[in-house]
Amino acid sequence: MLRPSPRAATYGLAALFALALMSDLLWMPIQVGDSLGELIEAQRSPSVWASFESALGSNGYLRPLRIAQIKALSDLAQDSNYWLVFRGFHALLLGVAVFLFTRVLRVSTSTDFAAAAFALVTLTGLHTFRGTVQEAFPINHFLEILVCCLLTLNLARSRGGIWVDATAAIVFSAAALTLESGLLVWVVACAAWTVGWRGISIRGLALMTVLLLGYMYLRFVFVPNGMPTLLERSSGFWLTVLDPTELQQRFGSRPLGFYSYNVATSVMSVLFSEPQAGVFEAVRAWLDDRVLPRVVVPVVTSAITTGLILWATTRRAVNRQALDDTARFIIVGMAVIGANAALSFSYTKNDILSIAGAFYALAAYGAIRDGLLTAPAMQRTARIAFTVLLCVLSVGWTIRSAGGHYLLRLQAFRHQADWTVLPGLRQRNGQWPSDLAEQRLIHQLRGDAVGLVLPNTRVGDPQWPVQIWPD
Amino acid sequence: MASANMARLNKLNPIVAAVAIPPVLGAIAWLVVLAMTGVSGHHPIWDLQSRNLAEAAAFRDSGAVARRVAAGEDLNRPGEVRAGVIRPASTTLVPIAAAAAIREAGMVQLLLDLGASPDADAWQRAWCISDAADVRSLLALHRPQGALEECVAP
Repeated sequence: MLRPSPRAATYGLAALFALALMSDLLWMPIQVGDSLGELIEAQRSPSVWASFESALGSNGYLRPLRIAQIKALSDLAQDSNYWLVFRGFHALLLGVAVFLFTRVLRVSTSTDFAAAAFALVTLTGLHTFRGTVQEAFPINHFLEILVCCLLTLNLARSRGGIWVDATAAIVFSAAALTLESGLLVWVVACAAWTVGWRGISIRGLALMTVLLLGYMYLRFVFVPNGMPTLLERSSGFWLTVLDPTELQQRFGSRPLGFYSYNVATSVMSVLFSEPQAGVFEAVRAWLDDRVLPRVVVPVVTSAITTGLILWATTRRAVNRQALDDTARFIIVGMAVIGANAALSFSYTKNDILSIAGAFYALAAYGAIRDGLLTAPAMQRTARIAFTVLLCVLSVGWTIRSAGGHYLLRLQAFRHQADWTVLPGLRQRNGQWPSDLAEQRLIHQLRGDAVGLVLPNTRVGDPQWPVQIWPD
Repeated sequence: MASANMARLNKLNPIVAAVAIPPVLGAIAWLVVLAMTGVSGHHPIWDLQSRNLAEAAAFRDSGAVARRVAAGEDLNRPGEVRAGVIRPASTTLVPIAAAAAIREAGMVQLLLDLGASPDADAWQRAWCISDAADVRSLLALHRPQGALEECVAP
């Protein structure tokens, strides 16, 4: 009988998760909201460079590579293969992210394998992961940044060299010019170097720091785009969502309190799955007397996992244990969670925290591995109790992870419904484009979306998925 | 390290197995669901498939409605909607009446956008089968000649 090595088994398991997620992603139309407008703009733009240049002047943000990428993929689609190109790219990115996540774990024993299996369900089950699969604009840039961060961590764990330093610098530049979250690449490189993963040398870090300063100059001096204001979007606050006007009224004169709230709740969101997007959903559900498993399971699994991370950290600190990979994963994970939360100061939402979520899963890998290595030294009763706890925890995270299928089926059905009504809606609202190329684009995208035969999640569905998984 | 790398998953101790087995089973189950759906065309959880345009409308399945219309199905032709969807027993309705019966103004609008033009009888049935204000206001905008906005009590 074939008995794989722990490393091969881990890659095999990661491939199963990646394949399932990629299949679900490919079985989904391109979304209308936040995508159609971008695709029309890409069609109007004469070239990738023109898209890049025009995005330099946009207000509040510096994301020229984001727009340039949409144009490049749009050109690649050649007016007909939009679904294949954009959904294919999304699925490919997801596969790369899962591969890089698995690779950085460096699994070599069966204990590592178990911890990696746990980390994979933590990665795919945490609510912040939804941001990498649920939507695309029409590229999922949060997933791109996650890939960049994981690639950087892999580079940091490599043997190093000039090409590693150069690649890290290129990855940082690309990420920073795509989304503000791209600055986390620099944080990953610095944190990894600090804990002793020095594949990216001090020379490479210095180069990345110069590039970071260059970004700051570009962002705030050369083409000052300003900062997002409170009037741009609604945001969660305690038990409710405040619209821009309410935010302006409450925090317009003293935004620091609101920014502090966003940073603190972002950290809590990753560590405890509560609040989400600034709103204390579990508390609200409890107050409304509708505490369903979909509310309880995330909070309980996250709280216990965070407890295990804390336990591993405290035990190591008290015993003055030497810094090993377990500790390194935890330290790097916490550094990225803190930095990601700080970047979310102006508004907090699950998508932005998707990088922090993945690094939380890496910290969980360290903590579970530590727990598994510690367990044999426990007394029998304690060991049995600990085994039961970890098993229940693993089941809980697996249930959360399986919610990805439910979520993507719901989303696919919603996207398709949005496309079916779009032409009529736009015609009634006087928004139907007069340009024939734009009309063709809409018909093409709608045809792609309607052509997908999807399971009907709206009627006749059993109630248990609604009770277990959030939509 | 080399010997550790060469180690095989021969025996997992109980605690390692307790952590590793649920994710492995979860991933396999997820792929099995996808594979079953891909091979059979039936999703094990959501397997409600419409048999005609009226039923597609009753199932709120706008994608199926659009596909059936594109395939040439008549938007004004009555179809049987299975028992338990609109009424306890099966019922035969034109698509727009099926959409009205489930109080779905968006579906009524989609059918109108796609070219549905109910005659007076069909329109009146749709009007009377739905008590949703938004459905009725939408129908009122498309009332054919001879149709009345009044219903006879059963």
